[in-house]
Amino acid sequence: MFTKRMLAMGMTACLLSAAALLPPAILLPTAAIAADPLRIGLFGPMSGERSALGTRFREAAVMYADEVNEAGGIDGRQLEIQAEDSRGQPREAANIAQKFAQDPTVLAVIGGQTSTESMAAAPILSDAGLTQVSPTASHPDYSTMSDYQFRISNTQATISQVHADMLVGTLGFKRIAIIYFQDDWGAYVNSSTTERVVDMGAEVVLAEAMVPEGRDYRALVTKVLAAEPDGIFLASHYAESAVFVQQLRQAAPDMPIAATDTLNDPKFIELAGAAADGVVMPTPFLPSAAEAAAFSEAYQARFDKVPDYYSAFAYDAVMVIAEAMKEVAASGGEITRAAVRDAIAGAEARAGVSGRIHYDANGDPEMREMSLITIEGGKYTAYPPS
Amino acid sequence: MIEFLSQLLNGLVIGNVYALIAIGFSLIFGVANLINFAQGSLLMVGAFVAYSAVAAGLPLWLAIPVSIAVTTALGMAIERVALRPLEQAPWIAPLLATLALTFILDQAAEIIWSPEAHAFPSPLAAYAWVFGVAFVTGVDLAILAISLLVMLGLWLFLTRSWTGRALRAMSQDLDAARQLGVPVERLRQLAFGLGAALAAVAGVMLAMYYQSIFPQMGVPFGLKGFVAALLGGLASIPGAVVGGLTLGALEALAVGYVGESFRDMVAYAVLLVILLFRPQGLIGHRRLDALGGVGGASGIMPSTSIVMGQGGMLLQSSTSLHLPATTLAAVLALLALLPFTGVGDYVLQITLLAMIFGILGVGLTMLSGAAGLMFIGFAGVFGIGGYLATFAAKSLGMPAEVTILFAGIGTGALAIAIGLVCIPFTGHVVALATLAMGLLIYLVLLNWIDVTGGPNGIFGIPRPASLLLGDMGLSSMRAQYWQGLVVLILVVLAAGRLLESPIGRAWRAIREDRPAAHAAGLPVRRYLLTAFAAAGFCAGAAGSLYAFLHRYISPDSFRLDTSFLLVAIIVLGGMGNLTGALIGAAALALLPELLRDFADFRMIMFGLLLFLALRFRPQGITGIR
Repeated sequence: MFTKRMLAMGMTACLLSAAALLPPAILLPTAAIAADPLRIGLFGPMSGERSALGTRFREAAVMYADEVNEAGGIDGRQLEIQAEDSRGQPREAANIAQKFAQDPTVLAVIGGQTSTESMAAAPILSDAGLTQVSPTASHPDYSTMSDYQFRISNTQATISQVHADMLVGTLGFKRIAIIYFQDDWGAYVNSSTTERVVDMGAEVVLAEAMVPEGRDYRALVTKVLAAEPDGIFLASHYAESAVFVQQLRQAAPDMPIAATDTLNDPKFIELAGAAADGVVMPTPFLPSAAEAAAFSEAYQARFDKVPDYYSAFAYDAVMVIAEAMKEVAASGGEITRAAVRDAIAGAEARAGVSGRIHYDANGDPEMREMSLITIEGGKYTAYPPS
Repeated sequence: MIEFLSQLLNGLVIGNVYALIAIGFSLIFGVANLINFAQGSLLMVGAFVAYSAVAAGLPLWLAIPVSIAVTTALGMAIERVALRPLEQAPWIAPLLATLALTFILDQAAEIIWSPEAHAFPSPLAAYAWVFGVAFVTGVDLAILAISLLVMLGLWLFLTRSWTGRALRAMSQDLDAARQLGVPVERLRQLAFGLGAALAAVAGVMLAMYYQSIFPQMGVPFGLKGFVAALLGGLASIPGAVVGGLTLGALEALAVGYVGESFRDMVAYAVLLVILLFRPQGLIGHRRLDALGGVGGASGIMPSTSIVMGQGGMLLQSSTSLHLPATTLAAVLALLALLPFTGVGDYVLQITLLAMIFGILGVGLTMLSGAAGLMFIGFAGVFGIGGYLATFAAKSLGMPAEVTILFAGIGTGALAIAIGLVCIPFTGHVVALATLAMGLLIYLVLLNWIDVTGGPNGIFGIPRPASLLLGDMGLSSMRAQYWQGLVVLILVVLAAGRLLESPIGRAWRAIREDRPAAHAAGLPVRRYLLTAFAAAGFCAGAAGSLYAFLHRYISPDSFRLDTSFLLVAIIVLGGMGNLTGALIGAAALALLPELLRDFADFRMIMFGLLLFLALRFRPQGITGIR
């Protein structure tokens, strides 16, 4: 009995300290040497519900790094993307942040996809002096968390005026039904847009959250129709929106729909089919725009799909960091975490595939131009059609 | 009125879909006494195989039988490989094995078909008729016709054919059926094949309903089907249809009169109320479910026992590893040295996370392991602890010890309230009721925006200083780590004492045979409430540490996947065994991190390891206690 107990103790000790079995690289950090690759950490949901978005991040980021490396790298060093899967969970995002923080070869971090996971990682990354560039976090508080947070997307505060102008100005809605996705982003779009459209004299007759699970929106459609709006403002992700517009169109073929830039995604048209026609939205990224043409073509050739704005924003996030690294190298400095941050914060406007990016004191990009587009016969075209 | 009728129609239409999914659950539960969580994943596989067949050029009418054939084969293989070896395991082990399979199947589908949604052809969707402000399409009518046909066919099969009658006999008394010469292995495999075929049909119909499919569709629809099946009365096939329609109608009316974001909240709350009055489900027979699911019909005693197998016979017990709490605490104390070994904050952080899950595992070991009340939605209780601690530390500025005590006692009190609702339930209904509880708490955290911040969560939670240690700050990762370790050791010591005391013995007696414990004069209700309070306290302490560690909190951390992880921790470790709970927590919290190098295959590896552990240690790594 005694020996059995000893064995048990031994086993427990072993298992409980399983942490000690972690790869030795983490335990014994080595100093970066000049020939080492320049490593950028990237995190986002690459499995689970939102995996399609994180996968876009990884594809675009790796593509940018490969392009840089083919052209000789930065200062003779290779650019390397270390992608980690957060499963969209803040808990995992915090773990990944700690992992990056501790690895001295990681010089900057891209991620995450939602504001929540980005903000979960933020305190750990800023404590470690790591720059964080989130492609799509749009919560206004994200960039004010520390000097190390930057983003590629517009903040919702900026973008809601664009929405209000589109809804009340261009489309002339007086009675608006807002359908928003129930996450941090959707909730914020709803409240900020409501504020602006009410300022402009319109009325929000219905504001309903769309729940991720279930995806049955018939009851919601009935409720929207009963509220008799002039038009619908849809702030949701493409897959859920496709189901919603299909179900809406079956009951109300002529109800005008305006949406957020999230629906500027070829997958939306593929899934919604004819029901997608006539949806109007603002967009910061058009795959066919002049500055994006080469990127779109290369992305299509490599991954066999048209890039969406998740791809484009992740690509630009690497660009922002890589350009900063190049600047540091060009000025003869050593490429360190601090140097990268300062170079990003002090940079002139950069031209990305999603347009011009110039950071203000918070780390928010100055208002990025948005144009209106609509869907006609299964294609995105400018709105109003010229 | 028009709006009400329209909403009712909407509800019946989606309820129709739920019913079709629920029939598969009912069939498998009826014949195998097993809740097959993988049913949702099989549904997803069915839809995707049909999609691939169409993409390969087959017409839709041919793609459907192909998908049914493939899915049926998969279902039978699952029974053979995954479930048959677990016959000699406690009832929860096969359930967890099917959960492990969903991890594997869902991730495999993401790799094979990419994680994105795909369009699915749906020729019947073009026909739509508008009534009031609702509408019905050709797909809806087809689903209704198929549900009714399947129901009729199954009813004829189960009551008229020899095979069907043998299946029913098996569900009542497996050993008796075997002795009478029924080829039980083959028939059970047949039942799983049939269940999988139904899942494939449901998957294809669902794909046509939404005109799109996505690899993550299995879990939400599987859950709805499961709820519908339980609502109707688990083993009853007409009950599955009634349950599906009722759930659909409840949801639609919730959307219409409360709001879309309250859809599931209203649905689950009404479900709990219905279960309180009709624990056997709407159509189920009370005599079948009163004590141990369908097996109850033949007088088999309670299903919460973990030393008895499905036929009611005593299981062979495997060697067990059980340390006294003091020894365990001493071993844990060694972990205090970890920060001095030169490891970085990353290792400390994930070890601290494992310790937090260890505290939760200790709580659940008392409630589910020892007292036998299988609490599936425990992440919700954990969430309550986290938010209470956030409130105490951020808004009231309480010091660390006070915050932990405040959150622990507050969560314990709420857990007693939850216990009052859950205690009357028996059999598998407990699993559903607690699952619904967990979901309800999550939804409250998500929707009570003024207090919880809603989906944004709460940022900037301080890491409060200690009261006893004076001004010494606890803001570094090391300090947090030691603080967590101290709490874990205290919790282990207290729980160990409780489990070895007469209270622990009473809990185990209640688990093994509640009516007998009651007959012997034990105040069953009071003992179970004590277990709820103790588990709640642990959840509150763990929630505090979690809030301090991450310095932010959001409902995302307290979803169903966390609940499943917690159940997996105690089952994998060994039910009712404190040593097991700690080992399970260490293994399951660290594994996803250790498996990072497997990238895309990470969750497949996780599912596989979980499954293999159950396969070779069906009573948990350390054995049950």
